[in-house]
Amino acid sequence: MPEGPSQPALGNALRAERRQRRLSLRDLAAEIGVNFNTLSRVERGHIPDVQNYERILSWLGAPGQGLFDTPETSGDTTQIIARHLYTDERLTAENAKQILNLLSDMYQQLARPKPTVAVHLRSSQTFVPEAGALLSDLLTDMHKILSEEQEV
Amino acid sequence: MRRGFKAEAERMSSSFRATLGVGDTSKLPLEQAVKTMGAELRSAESLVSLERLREIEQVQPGAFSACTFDMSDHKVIVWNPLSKPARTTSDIAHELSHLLLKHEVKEVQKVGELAFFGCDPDEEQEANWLAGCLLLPRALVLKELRAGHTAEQIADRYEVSSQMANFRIRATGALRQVSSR
Repeated sequence: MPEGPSQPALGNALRAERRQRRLSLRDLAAEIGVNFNTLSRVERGHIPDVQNYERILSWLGAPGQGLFDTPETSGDTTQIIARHLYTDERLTAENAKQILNLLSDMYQQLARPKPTVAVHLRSSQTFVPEAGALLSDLLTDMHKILSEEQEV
Repeated sequence: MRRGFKAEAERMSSSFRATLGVGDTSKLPLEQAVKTMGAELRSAESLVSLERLREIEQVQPGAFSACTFDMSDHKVIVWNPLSKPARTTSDIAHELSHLLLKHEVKEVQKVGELAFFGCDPDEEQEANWLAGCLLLPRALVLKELRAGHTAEQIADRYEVSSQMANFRIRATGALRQVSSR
């Protein structure tokens, strides 16, 4: 079986911060509007949907890139650059943001369009990283086959 | 769920059923319903191997039920053949509801190797509710309860899960109406 994506540190960061602020899961759920069960699963290493992910990140006040133990070679180009910029001691967060905005704009203009997979998905509310990765590949392949069929 | 949606969903179901030529007390012809919406219905097995579907199910049971792709000129609803038939009925009705409600498809995003699936909780709730109305409209539930049928029997007759039948009996308040007579 191929190696799955690394476990995110998001769950650990969330639990640590929540305990530091002396909040129960229910308190936090009420505060940020993320379902109690979803928060509990995220603390156990599951990946939430984008909206809940953003709410959690916003509460943590942390840049998303730093919360994933992903290999340097993986991920979108701008995300890899962002990780370097935000951790560069010679740059303030504001400097890093300015450079990243410039680079992102250039990248968007010059890079070939990436085929996007968009779906309505009836599934679990959160995913263990391995299942999320398998499902993402599955949806991408299904979309590719349907596109090919359409072209014929 | 936004105010007034529940009543709106019953009306929407009734109107859609009328365009299909079926009343509120008949079984929903699901394939015809999907076709009427200009969508195609496919088993995931026709696109990818069963092995891959089993692998996901093994890693996280229930991780994939169904999905809808927007292929620009038409929509494709894909269902998981590993699910039980009654579950599949609900899954397809849920996807059909997204189409009826004109919900936009959500992009799959990747951060590193981690995948994020877009999900709007309000839209999901609406699609769930409308799916129930489409499969078991209030008038149908009332008719069945008056005929003395149980939730299990309703589930069997309309090929839905007993969970769905029980949910609709509660949600429509039909049992109270029948009992009070």
